[in-house]
Amino acid sequence: MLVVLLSCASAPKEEPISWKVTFFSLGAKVQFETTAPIQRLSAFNHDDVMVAQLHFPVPPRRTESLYFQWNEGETYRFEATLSTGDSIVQNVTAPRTYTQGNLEIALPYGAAIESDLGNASGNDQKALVLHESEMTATVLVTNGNVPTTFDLELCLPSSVTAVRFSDDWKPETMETKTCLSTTNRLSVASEVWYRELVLRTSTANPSDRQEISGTVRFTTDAGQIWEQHATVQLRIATISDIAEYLSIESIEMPTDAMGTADPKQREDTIYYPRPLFSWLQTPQTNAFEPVTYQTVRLRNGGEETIHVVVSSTNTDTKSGETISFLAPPETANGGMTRSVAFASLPGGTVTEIPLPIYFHPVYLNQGKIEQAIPGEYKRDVTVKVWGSDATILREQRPLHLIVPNQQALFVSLLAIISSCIGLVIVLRFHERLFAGFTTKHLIVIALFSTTVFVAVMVPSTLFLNLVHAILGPVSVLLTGLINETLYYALLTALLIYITGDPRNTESTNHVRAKGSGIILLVSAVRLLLGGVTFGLFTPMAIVYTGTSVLLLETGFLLVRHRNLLVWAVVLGICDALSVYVDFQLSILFYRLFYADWYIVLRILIEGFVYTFIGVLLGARLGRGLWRVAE
Amino acid sequence: MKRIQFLSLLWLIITLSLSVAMADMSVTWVRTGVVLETEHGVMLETENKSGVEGEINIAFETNGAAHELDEASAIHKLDANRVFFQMAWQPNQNYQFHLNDNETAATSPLKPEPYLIRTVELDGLLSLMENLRQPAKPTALALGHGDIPPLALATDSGHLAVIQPLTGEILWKIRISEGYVRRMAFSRDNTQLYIGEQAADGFIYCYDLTTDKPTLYWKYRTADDVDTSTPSNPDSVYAWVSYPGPSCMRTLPNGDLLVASVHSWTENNTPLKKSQLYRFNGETGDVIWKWPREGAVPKIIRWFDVSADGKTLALLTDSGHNLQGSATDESDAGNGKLTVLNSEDGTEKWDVAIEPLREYFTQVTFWRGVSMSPDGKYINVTTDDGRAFIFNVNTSEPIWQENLATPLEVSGIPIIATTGTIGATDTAAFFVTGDTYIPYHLRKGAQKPSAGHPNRMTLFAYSWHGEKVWQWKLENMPQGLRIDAKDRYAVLSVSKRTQDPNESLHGVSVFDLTAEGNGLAKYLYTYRTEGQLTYDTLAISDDGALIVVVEVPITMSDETVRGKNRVHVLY
Repeated sequence: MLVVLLSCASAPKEEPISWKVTFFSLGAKVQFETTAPIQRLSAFNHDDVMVAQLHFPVPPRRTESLYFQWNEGETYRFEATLSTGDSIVQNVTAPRTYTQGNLEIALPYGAAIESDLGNASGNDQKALVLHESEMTATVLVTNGNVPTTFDLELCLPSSVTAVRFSDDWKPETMETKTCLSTTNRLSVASEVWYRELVLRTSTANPSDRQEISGTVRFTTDAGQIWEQHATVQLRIATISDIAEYLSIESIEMPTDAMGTADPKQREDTIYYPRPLFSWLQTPQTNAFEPVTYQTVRLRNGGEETIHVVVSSTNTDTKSGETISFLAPPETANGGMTRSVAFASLPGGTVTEIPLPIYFHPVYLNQGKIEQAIPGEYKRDVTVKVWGSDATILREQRPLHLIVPNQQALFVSLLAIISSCIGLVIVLRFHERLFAGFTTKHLIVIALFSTTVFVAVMVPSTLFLNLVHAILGPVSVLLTGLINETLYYALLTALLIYITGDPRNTESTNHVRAKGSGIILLVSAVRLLLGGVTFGLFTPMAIVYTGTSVLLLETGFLLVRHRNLLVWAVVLGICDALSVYVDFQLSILFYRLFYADWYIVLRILIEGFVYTFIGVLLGARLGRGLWRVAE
Repeated sequence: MKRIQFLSLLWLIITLSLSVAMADMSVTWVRTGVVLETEHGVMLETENKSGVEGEINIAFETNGAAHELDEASAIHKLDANRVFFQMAWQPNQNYQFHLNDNETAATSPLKPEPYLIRTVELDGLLSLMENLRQPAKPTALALGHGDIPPLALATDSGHLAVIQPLTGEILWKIRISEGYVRRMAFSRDNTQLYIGEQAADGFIYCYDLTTDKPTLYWKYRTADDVDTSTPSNPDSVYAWVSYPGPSCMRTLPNGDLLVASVHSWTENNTPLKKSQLYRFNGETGDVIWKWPREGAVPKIIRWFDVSADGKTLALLTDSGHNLQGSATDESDAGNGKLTVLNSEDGTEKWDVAIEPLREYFTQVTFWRGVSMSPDGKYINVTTDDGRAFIFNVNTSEPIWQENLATPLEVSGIPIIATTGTIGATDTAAFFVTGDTYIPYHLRKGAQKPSAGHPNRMTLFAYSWHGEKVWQWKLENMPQGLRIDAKDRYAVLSVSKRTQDPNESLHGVSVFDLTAEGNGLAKYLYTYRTEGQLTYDTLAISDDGALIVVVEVPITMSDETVRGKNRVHVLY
């Protein structure tokens, strides 16, 4: 007994299934309030004959339809069989009088409430219309179960004028309104008749009732008559009224289809992996698959829901023409050159609307096959009230179509080849290189190299990220003082110490016949120490060091007999070139993108100016050392 | 005490025999008869040890009047517990069924119910290694002819099996290549199976089904006519699209085979297309004729249909739409074309160019946009821009044209519905519109105005003179329409790839085309599946009794997977 009581107490309470049955022209709709574990839904007539049945392999949707021909006033038994095997039953009597057919005045199209579900005799909806602007309204008449002839009358208030409508409408102007009427036939059950009307609003008379009303009278072949009414209450607002509480919060690109941005991707950019040589084919892409998305965040600061259409066109920055290879595929978009999305913006919310962006590397231009052109384009994002042609909001954003950097490839290739040749030469003639130095010189070079490592590389490596984090892109101005000025000061001091002061004729007599190799040895020791200590022995570091050594050795070879100012200028230029090569290597190998100002800043300031200063400072130190050594 | 034991035993024996005699027997009222199902399968098995179906003893009474079994009525034993009894039952009638010693009374419903005979898991058709590598993805299915037609199923990795649809028994299994099986068809006597692959060679194979092991009768390399190519990314799951393959395949009453072979690829950034239509001798594989005779046409043969007697054929060609941009200045390059052939000798009767709906499109394209009445008198056509046409087979002027789902423009946005699914009987032309395809990419939960085309997702039936006869609003996107050889039943699969449970309705809707009245009278039921239904994976037997549909799994937003790669065989 205790066990039974306990098991009863511990059994989870099942929520009662709440469901509502409503008749419609083709049967009955069953609405479930929650997800119901129902396996089967059956309907039986008063003779207990099954009239319709639905089996659900998965839980039913919120609203399910049972299709059958019901009789007015007859009671039907609806039986829902649960997954547990239990059944729940409802007896529902069909309406005694049922007005068939439906009238919908859609302003804008798609925003109307269908009246047939509840078979309400009238249906009211509210519509936001723009003052002094054109709106498209769609009138839809849906037939009931039998062929009918219908008479439709649509009445517009004095503030609304029908400017474009099809010939089968007959307009009639009365005192405060204009009525359009038409007659047509619906030959089969559930047939939909629809027409579009372009309406224009003007200043409203405050005493007039601002509503569009419609009445449709269906007459069956047997003479039976039904009537359906629909009304649309108008709220006329100006563009500035709407723009006051509707705003674009942000436009992000690239994002995914759900509107989530990827911070690792370059903003406003499509990467086009174009082959470097024309004989390599452009990889095939799926024209119907968006290459990326942009997400427009719209804020509706008002209280009412606003239906909007958001579109984006990719255009040329100069001519403003639509770019074919950045337009949605024609066959999938009705020939439109825009990406569009509809949205209902509830009051007081921000709605994210992702718009697809398409890219076609190869496209047709007047029947000829063309390749997409990389460059700068712009995205023209517009927001319209759904149904109206007037633009409420407009913003433009850049769109960069970038390709693999050919310049980076060629510069990097040149740097790699030069470094390899340099390495081969060094390996081939290393004995002769070392023979040119005395043991004392080699010890001094090693000492200076270690000093460079300790004074330049160690702080630079340890604190570089911290300085970057604090100062951002301008951190190079600080790190450059160590990396460039201090380094070149030490290097210049070493060069003067070993090769002599270029200003001092006495010292130049001591210049060794072959003064090359000092920069090479310093750089090699620096590279080795950095590699062993910090693991910086990467292919990029090797190529960069090789290029830098080649440039500096060449520069030094050219100016070693000249005065210090020339040294400073030439070594500054050589280091600026090294920085440029470093950029190209990063662009090629790491696919990094830099702002133009950042590249110029580093080449000019870090590459040239700091080196120039470093050489001049190093000269003082070098002369002092040289004198001491003498 | 002994007396009590004896009485208890006697009572037990009496109760058992009574319960066996009055065993529960359920009746399911299907379109072409009833399925009787007992809980005590032993009864059926005892009576049918020989396995001869005719030995099942079934009789029925309606409202007290006994009926003898019609000799022509088929009885199919589905398994130990279930038997199908073919009969033309009347709605809302009391029936009493006698199955051997069982009997049951039931009142027929107003409309038949769907009945699942069995499901066949596609993974079971593959080898273990193949299953481990990737799940089998169904690519094609074909149903044979006759009372119990064989069913052929194929997957994307070239695996193919022929099964007995009622028992699920695998009759025959083969792997043709690494290729993608695109189309299959049985010969009229079910002794041969024709297979069309979409692969580098684009072979058409003919296999003998009468032998225990698969025997190749003949094969034909279509790449000799429409060329071959290498996809730019052969590892892509869509690589097969660039290979030559059959777009449509039909067998004719005399045993010949019609195949439209299509190749659409890109070479040096130039889009190329080649298509060729063949009539093969089904026995030998000899080409009886090719269209065009002079060589492949530089267009895509989208689809064709042929009259029931195999004498007249209608086909659609277009320029394809794999490149963005304005097609050309040439006036006719964007046109689509309907061509009518004498299919006995492949000669052209007439052709007509269908011009683009220039306000919105620069060219005309088709999906499965052509169908011919079985008597060969009329042709119905739909274009992708939403227009529908009816032609008399003797004249190139359309006798009727309607803008079924052409763009409805709101705020400068054209709202269009797809219109590629089509069918025909001797009395009616069927056009099925799909969903509106303006892209909606709203974050989950975001609202949008309902901007579907007014004529979207509707099955329209028109008389061949262009009068609308009936229509039916579909509950989801159409995925294929099939009509049986008797023009009695139309089956339409509806499904959509969506993660929203409220849009997840996947199933097969069945219509009785002979029922008097409107769409509601013709609509019978929708059999629902857990998973998604893909396009063209639906079949109905010649007599309309059997329906076969292939289901594939779909992942919902909460990462749960609904459905499996499997085949549903239904009454």
